[in-house]
Amino acid sequence: MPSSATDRRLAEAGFVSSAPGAIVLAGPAADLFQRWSRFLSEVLGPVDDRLTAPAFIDRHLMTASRYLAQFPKQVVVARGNGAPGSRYLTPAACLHVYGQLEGERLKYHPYAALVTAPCARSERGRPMFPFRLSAFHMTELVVIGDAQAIEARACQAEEIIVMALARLGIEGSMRASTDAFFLPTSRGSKILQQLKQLKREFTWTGAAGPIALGSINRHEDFFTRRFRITLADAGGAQTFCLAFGLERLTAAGLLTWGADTAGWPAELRP
Amino acid sequence: MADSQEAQLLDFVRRRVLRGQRRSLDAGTPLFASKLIDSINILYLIGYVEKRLGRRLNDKELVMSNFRTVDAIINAFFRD
Repeated sequence: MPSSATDRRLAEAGFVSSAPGAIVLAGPAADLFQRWSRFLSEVLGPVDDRLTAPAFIDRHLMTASRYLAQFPKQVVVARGNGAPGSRYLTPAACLHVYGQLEGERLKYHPYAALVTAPCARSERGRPMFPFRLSAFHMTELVVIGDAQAIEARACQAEEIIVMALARLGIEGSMRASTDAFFLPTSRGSKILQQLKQLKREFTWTGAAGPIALGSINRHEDFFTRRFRITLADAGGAQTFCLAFGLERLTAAGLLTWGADTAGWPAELRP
Repeated sequence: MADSQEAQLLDFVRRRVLRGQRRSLDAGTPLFASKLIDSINILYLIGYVEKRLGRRLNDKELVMSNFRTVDAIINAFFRD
């Protein structure tokens, strides 16, 4: 049962809580979800590869990325085939890209991939409908290149996304975040992350804001070292990713424009 | 006063951060670009500043422009 005016508005649009931390999309909500997906694909392109990744992720990717070691409480173990703990539910779409490129020497850079995956994270019993879900879909732009190319592309991606969302009436700005993402959660790491602005979020200041609708994460050489990804004609490889939760964008859109598609921006209208 | 602070901070960085490494260091040496600072060393550095100031640093003070070099730290926190 919807418990607030916000929940009721979303439920009327087909954005319905089905279990703690999980939702079902129907009608306008399902439509807007698909349109956000297409919109991101257009705005964040062109890219070298487009990947649709699975819900499952092997233990190897989870250990090589240090995700298991650093965020054990967020991990959802997949039961069934194979030894217990041999596979998990994908916590972040970008991990599949590093897995695909493991051990590779990239012939050119910057290399860019757009990846979408169904993701799951245990929110320690604190999912917050409609924005913090345990099961959701993530679309990420992942870029690999040398330090200079990464910084240039990351700044460009930030500008593009702020402008593109503003054009849709989703007002907000990029802000530094101290949430842990790939580094350990020690105070020193958090401060380093803050000083270097490694994680920045697009913070929506609209109807239900402030809410982080997307984040850009500069990983330096964290993942390229662990997955042995190198560049043929340049120094050390670095990465950044720009990630969006599609359900979160869908909720923000419905709360901003309503369920009637006639009120949606032209870029997202049927 | 600031000159004395600079000398003391340089000495601290040489002892606690460089720990005997043979690397040149002066007030303008980029601390992050030259990878002198890791997640442990940054705590030493912030601890040093907080101890001298007698208070904890707030989020607005924890920005790269205040910690880029020894000179930047002095300018941000110890110059009147």
